[in-house]
Amino acid sequence: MTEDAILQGCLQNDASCQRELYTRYSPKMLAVCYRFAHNREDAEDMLQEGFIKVFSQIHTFRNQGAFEGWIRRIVVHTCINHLKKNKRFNESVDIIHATSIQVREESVPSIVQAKQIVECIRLLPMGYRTVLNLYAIEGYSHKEISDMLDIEESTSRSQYTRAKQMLEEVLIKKRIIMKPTEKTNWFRVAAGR
Amino acid sequence: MERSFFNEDFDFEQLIKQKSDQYKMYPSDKVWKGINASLHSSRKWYWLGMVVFLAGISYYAIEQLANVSRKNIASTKNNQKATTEPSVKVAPNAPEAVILPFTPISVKSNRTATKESNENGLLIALEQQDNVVIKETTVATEISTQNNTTEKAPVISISNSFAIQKATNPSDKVLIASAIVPASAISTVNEAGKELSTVATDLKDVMEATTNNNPVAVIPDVEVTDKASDEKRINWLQENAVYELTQPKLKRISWQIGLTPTTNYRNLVGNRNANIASEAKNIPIALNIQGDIDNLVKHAPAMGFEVSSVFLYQVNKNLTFKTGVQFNYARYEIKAYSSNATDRATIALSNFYGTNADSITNFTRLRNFGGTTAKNLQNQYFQLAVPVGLELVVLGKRRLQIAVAGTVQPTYILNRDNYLISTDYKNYTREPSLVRRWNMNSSFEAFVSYKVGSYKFQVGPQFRYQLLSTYDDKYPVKEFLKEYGIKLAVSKSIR
Repeated sequence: MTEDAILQGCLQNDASCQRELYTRYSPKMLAVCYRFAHNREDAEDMLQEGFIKVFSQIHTFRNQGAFEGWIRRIVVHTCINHLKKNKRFNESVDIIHATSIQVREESVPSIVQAKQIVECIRLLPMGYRTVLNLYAIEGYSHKEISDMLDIEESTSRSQYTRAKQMLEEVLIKKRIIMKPTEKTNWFRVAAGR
Repeated sequence: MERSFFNEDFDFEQLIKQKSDQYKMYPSDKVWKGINASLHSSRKWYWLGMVVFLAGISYYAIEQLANVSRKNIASTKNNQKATTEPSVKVAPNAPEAVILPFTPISVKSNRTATKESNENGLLIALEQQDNVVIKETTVATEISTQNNTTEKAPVISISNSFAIQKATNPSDKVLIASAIVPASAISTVNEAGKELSTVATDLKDVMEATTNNNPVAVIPDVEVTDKASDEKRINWLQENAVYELTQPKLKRISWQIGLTPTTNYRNLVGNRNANIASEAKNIPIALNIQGDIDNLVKHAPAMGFEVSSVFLYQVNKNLTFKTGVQFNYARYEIKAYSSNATDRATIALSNFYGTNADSITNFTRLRNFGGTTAKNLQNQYFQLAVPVGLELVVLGKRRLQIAVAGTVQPTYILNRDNYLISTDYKNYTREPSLVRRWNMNSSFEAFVSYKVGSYKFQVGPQFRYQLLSTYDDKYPVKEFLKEYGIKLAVSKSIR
């Protein structure tokens, strides 16, 4: 089924088209939610809420951009709202200045896989993780992030810098990447392992 | 988006993004079930639930009505059955119990048995056929006796409508009487000249006589002139009377079903804090809209209905307590505009102190002002409530009454997917998490009722008001639903 056909079906509230759309995009979107969420259960709640919004607001989609991108934006906003509602985000602000995190070192370096990177991101405090997710992965600007999270733009920048440093430490401790002092390309190091 | 792809962070960020995007997770089945249930089955269930509810009420009402007529028919049939189809079987070889019909008999005493005395007295009129029927004009409590020691024993029963029964075939004799009156030892002879060897003075005598195939006479009440005999008879009645006059019982409990077509509307109350907060948060920043929210939104009433099933308990002549269940379908329309551009609808949330600590952002194409096309939004509410209240008769006597009633109604909201306005009053969006599941309503009604038998029909105006806002306390705009309607109801006394 083509994306247009799915879209038309969803506009007519056709359950089979909605199922098709869900099947097509839910794995990616659950991974998005998982990066924001406290645990998998929360991530599934966010996904459910996000897709309900997608289907109920699908008439507002105009073919001006990628459909996946549109869905992703709704899901990301749902995640942020969910964190705000459950006070998870506010709580995380309190620990946002944490200087270090406990990372268990592994003796044998493992092959860099997507799951490892995602799990390392999830080790970050919630505030750092949210800014990193929004900026580095979802592609929002610091200005947009400041609006979404009700923080200053400069705060968003500083949190991102700290988040990145912390993630580097985690990845190095887990021997997923090498130290950047060797002027090695990050990507090549990771991919080469 | 201002992204720095030229610095040394580029590779690191690219690695993170690429690996994160590659990652996929497969959700459990319950996620889709939840989505599907939310999108499709909910409304279906509301309507199905309502149909079942109404069908249940109708079935119960019909059952109640049918029961009344069935009882009447049953009592008529029972009377017929008593004379034509005796239900007690007697062994074929059983000795014939000869119960002589009551006919004018000679009484060896100063008493005279007359037909008039039969009709006016405790007993007895007899109809002479194969089956003998003794009728009575007085009321007596039903008493049945059955000798279980032998199959041959006659069966005698006494009741107010039919009494002693025996025999199953035409040759059998059936005695139906309602009471046996005491009599002095008198020898009697019936009209045919046959001497009656036994005079029934009580139930035992009748049983004995019929078992032994002896003729038996059942003596009617006789005119008693002397005071002593009269007193004796009254004393006997007090001690041995087989009937008791039942006191008519006051029926206090009734069951009522009601239908109220309603017109639904709402009161909106804004919050100044919400304006300020949403002005600061909405992007792009636009001039804030000031004024009473009730004047800034365009909403119109719409028709709904209420069905109820309640039990009424009559505390005294004028006061009745009532409780039951109720289903309300309320709705109203919002005049909005649809636009081609997607707006960000920000809902500023209030905290305990009334300040705005948080917000929810949704995307919407629905605007309160200035869109491309006009659009009517409909907010529908499906509610289940438990009304608890009182009715007070203010005027009228038994049949026609005027009364007022009031209830409070803990209410459960079945659906929460209604439109709400952003806190800057610019957009409409849906945010089910801000809608209360439980609410409290109050209702006031005045009605005219008319009683026909055990049924009471009533009609009158009703007003229902929602005491708590539809939305959570966090949402600064308060909505209070109100309904005006004409209630039609019928109630039936049941106990």
